[in-house]
Amino acid sequence: MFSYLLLTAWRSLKRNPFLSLLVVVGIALGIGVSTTFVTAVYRLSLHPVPEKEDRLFYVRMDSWNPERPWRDSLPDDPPDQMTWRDALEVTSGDIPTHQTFMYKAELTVHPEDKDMRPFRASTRLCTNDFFALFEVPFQYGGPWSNAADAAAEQVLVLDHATNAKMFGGEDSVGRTLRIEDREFMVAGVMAPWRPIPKYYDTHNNPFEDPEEIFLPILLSESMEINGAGNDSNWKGYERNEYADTLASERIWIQTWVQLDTQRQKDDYAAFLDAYALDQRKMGRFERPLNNWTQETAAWMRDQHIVPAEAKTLLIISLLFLVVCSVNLIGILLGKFLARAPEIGVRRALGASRGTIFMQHLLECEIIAAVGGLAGLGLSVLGLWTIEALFVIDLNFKLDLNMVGAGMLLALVAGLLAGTYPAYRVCRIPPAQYLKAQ
Amino acid sequence: MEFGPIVRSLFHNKTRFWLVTLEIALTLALVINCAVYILDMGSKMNRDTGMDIENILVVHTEPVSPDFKDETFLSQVRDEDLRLLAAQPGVLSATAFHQIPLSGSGSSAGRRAEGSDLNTIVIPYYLVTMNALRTLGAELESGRDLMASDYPPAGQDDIRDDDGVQRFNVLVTRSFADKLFPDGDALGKAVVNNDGTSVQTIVGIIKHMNNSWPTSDFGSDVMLFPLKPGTAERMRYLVRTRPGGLDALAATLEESMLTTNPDRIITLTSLAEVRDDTFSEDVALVKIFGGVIVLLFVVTSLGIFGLASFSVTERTRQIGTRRALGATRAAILRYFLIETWVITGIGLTLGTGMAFGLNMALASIADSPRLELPLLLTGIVVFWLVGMLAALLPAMRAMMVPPVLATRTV
Repeated sequence: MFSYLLLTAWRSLKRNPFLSLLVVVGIALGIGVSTTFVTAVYRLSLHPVPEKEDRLFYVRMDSWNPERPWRDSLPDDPPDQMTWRDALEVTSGDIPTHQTFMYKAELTVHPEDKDMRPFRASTRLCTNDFFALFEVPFQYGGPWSNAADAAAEQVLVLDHATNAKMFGGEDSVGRTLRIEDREFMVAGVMAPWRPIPKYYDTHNNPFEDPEEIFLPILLSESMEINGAGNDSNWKGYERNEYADTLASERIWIQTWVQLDTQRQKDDYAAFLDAYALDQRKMGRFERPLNNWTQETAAWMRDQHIVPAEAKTLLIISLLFLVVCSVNLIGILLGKFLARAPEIGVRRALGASRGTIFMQHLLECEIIAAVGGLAGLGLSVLGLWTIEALFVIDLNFKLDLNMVGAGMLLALVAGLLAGTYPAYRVCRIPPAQYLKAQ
Repeated sequence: MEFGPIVRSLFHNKTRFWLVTLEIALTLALVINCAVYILDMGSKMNRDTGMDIENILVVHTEPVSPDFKDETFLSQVRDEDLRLLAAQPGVLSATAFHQIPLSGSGSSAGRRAEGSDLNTIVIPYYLVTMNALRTLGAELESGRDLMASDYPPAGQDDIRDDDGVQRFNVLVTRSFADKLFPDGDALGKAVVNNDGTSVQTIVGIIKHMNNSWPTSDFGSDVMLFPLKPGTAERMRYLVRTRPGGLDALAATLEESMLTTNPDRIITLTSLAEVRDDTFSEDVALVKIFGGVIVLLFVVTSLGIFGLASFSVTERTRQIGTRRALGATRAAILRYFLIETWVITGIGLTLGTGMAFGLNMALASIADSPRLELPLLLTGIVVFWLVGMLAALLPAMRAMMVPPVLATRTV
């Protein structure tokens, strides 16, 4: 019975190929546009490390001006970065499973090969726990040691591309690289790694590549490195030497901790508050106690990773699908009702209302399925266009999820759009059309 | 005319009629709201920057030698660079800037009018060497340009009075001046930071120029500060050439600058390119919104086309009858076009309300621009034309139905 219905539906589609094409194009556009934007926004708002969803925390402490909040528009929020002295202190305990404090800089690499010009490399100053905290994959070697962190040794981790550029992609562990006026030994080379967004530090550009070079952060003191990210300061200070900056109220450091158990979370929150109260005795942290360990997803929301326009486009694209569905209902209704005399005959010959209804619904679903497939093709084009226009890598895949979601959307739209026309057509009284002939 | 019968027959087939009306209404609402974004961004991008951006070369230099950590050395290199740049053929003027206007990155400080209870406002500023206005191509409206005597004496990096208060003469734009001195008498007045430790006297007012964030609501607020910029990490220069001289200058400049001092990485772009980079995301959004508009028109034209086609097919016999009873071809064409015209009209009326509703909804979710009436009217006119075009083909098919059809059974 089903195959008979399928056959009738197919015949009816074939009978008016132009109209069927029109309908398929309509639904394909709707599915194409909506899946494009749904996928784009979904990719942007995806949790970057799902396996650590509720264990990875960004630390924020309110060390700001007692007179006014960090942002007048967000009076309850602590600043989005930390001072050097606080970040150093709150990552020195043993409560978190992993913890790091860090910032971005730009340092000059002097290649040994005299034919290569020196170049600026984006550099992250951090502790060796960075790599475990953010699950960084290694191709050769690994993070530097705890001892190297403590003694600020001249060691580094290279990213995959820079290792290819400087050492031809070979295992360069143990070899040296000249940065600024010092020689560094390679401790590890990362495998290709591209978190989207660059969630561990979204300041400046949340979709840029991770840094090219990673160095122990305590080197900052002797190398007098200035950050290349955002910084702000509420309290002026006389800067005679580099240490003045490290002791100042300038906020420019990012701090992350991994807390696996509730016990750790409670202990760490208590630890932060105790630290802040302790600082208050020295005349700092005069604002109400407000220290956050913020889950990654909440931190991404605060950083507005998904731009406002993306939400607008998402809404517009879903309404676009509604327009396409309404369009579909109208055309199907016309198409089906134009066939009324034939239906009348079939009903008179004994086809039940249910059969007629099912046949037409099936026809709609065939249209929807074909339109859905075409729409998925369009959405791949659409996503490529978005990637090219915005110069970002959404890293989307036409995987089962996306195909499934797109097809489901198409079939639901087909069902919604087809039900009424199919209902109308199965209500056609047989007698009227027999008479008219 | 046939207006009455057309409307009555429309209501004869209510569902399909309302469906297309709804589709048209929704489409209008969406198209208009996409267009609002495009217009808003377009007007932001096309604003006058106040600068001769086509003829300004941006020279980024990134020192790679620790020598530059020495202030005296750094300032020597800067002086030599500025001399070299000014001496290049076709160059009108060269100035060192600590940040680049229109680039999206810059510095700002809080300032209030001295002796007034107006609130502190944010003022983007640039540390510049001499001739900044000439280099930018910006116009001095009143007062005077910065002079050598406005800069700290050689060997000093600050000017402070006996109480330790920092005191400088500065240039500001008219836009900023009017915010702090609404009476328009900013010239000669002073602005001061929150705790009173830094005071700037306004010695000249710039007619107009953009800062690093041209689309922000303080995009034309600028203060030019007589302090020589440059750090061991980076030094930047703007160089203005005679019209059309930029490419020739860029071709040879890197080499000549490296002869002065080889220990740096030099990158050259034009200020126009800097602006385009800053706007690249907005341009991409404009293209996307534009694409959505085109697709919306396509889908809805298909809908109108479909409706008109059915309407013709269903009534083939009636058309034949009307023709047989003496109706001209033109009358048949007119009938179907008027039918579409009425449907589109009702749809657009509904759509006007929806457009405003959607605009308000989007404004509450994302900070979307407001819908203006002229845009809406343009949208309606364009839509009406698109609707008529979509119905033209089926209407012409109707026109060709021969009267003899009335006598046949289907």
